[in-house]
Amino acid sequence: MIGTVPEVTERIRPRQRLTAGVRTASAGGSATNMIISLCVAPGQKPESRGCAPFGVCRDPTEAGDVVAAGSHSVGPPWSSPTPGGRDRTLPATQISVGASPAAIFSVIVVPGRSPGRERAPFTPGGHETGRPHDHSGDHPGSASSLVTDATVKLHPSGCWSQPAAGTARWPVRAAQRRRSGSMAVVALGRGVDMVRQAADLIGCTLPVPAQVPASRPALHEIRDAYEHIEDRAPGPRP
Amino acid sequence: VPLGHVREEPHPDALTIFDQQRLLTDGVLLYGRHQLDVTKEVPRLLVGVRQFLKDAAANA
Repeated sequence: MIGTVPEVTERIRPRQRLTAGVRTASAGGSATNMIISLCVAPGQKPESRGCAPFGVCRDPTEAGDVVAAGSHSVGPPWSSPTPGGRDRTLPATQISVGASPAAIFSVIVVPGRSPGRERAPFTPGGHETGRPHDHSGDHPGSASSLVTDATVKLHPSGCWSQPAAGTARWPVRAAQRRRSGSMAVVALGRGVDMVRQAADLIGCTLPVPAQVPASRPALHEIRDAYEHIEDRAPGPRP
Repeated sequence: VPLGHVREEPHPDALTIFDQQRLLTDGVLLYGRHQLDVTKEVPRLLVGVRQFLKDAAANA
């Protein structure tokens, strides 16, 4: 069972970078999924941009909005039956604040379902995460790991990469490209399959566009990885 | 180092789908040794597939 669900709050200055991490210790047995949320604290309404390695980012529009949420499956090889297990720190989630008043962000850790195979969308703060292949759950109390710590690390100002003038700040572009890329690859994969099978299935005699055989191997592999993203992450097996 | 799985077997490429730094810098999706240029290759592929399907429908 989850022993604690910590919440850590830090004040962050404009253009300062923040890294949020979560440390867990296995209590033995099976693994668990956890969901990390970065929230704007009540009373704050900054102009900020967030980017999470796992999950989505969005602009906060009101206090309490979740601007970045990520889920991560933690499990083997450290989920040994040995009491105490091993510690593990989840991948960091980063968020930046633009030229805005200082803001306070919270890191909230939500225990997920273990082993997390059912399709139950997590909606932090009522907002859909937008991750079509996020199979992590939102049922607290079913996990077997112990959240021991949640940390927020502030980095010196100015270390965040600045994009060229006139372009969006790159965390926003990152989220947009990640989402666009995933959707494009999956949809395009289906279109390419239709083209490749047209001759066999409907007797189409048109030549297959040269781009199809050239791009198909990469498209196929990347599409499969997105389609089975839950298998690509190290985590509990069914 | 834990490995992700491909077809229920641990695979060294599995985790690379989560490392998309080059998507930010170059607009390129990476997975293992495979790469797909989202800004150039994908639009060309989309145009080719679309035209093929339109022609196939017109000739059906």
